[in-house]
Amino acid sequence: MSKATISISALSGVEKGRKIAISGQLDETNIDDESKKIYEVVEKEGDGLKILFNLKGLTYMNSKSVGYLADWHGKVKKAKGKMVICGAADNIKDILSVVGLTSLIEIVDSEDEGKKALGGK
Amino acid sequence: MNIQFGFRARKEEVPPLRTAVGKLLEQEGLESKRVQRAISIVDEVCNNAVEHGSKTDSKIQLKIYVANGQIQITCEDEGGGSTLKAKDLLKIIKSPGSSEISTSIRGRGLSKIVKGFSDSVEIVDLKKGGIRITSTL
Repeated sequence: MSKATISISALSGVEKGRKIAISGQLDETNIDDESKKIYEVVEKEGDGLKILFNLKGLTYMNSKSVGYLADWHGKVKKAKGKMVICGAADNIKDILSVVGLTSLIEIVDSEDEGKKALGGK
Repeated sequence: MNIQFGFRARKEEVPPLRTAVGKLLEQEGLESKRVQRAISIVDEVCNNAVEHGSKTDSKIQLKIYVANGQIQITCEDEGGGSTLKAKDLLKIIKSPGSSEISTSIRGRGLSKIVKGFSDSVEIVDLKKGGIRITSTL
């Protein structure tokens, strides 16, 4: 089974902000289980949630992982929140681009840029 | 380079294959972006074969052929996993694509990633049963 580490913390300087850092690899062997941690945040933290996904240590993600990202984005947006991605490696950006997610979710380089994109300082 | 892997139709068998193919392609001196795309294609076609093309523990063959800078990835399953035929998968691959971005969780592996990263994709039914998918990039 592939290994992934997901850590969830408050995002300083952003009202109702959460940082979700993902490292390792997400694929068919682990994504269904790992995704539950993020659904806990997306579905239970109410309206106006601002999520910064830091994918700095993520070295691989498969199509289902992308699907989950799209689903989280849909839920967050429906609840009048926003999602931004930062720190993605070139291969991750390539995957997100080929499936069209880059036209749905803003992708920035750094956490600071991510905070600004979410309306923070 | 011409190498063939045989593995059982279990999703746990795919990550080590992905890693092995990546290392082998790197050793061929190929551009990193193409290696990474090939890794994605291997993962998606193998998982498709596991999930849709096979009964648990039936055999899947993965072949990687590199010549003149071109990478060819072929995945063959034995069938028995679903009623999908080559024509069904070809419909998915050849659909023009929607300008609307899907928010569903499934359905991007072949239609977006394999299609998007490949220069060409061939899908055929095998006489013995099962399907062969060949991606060239």
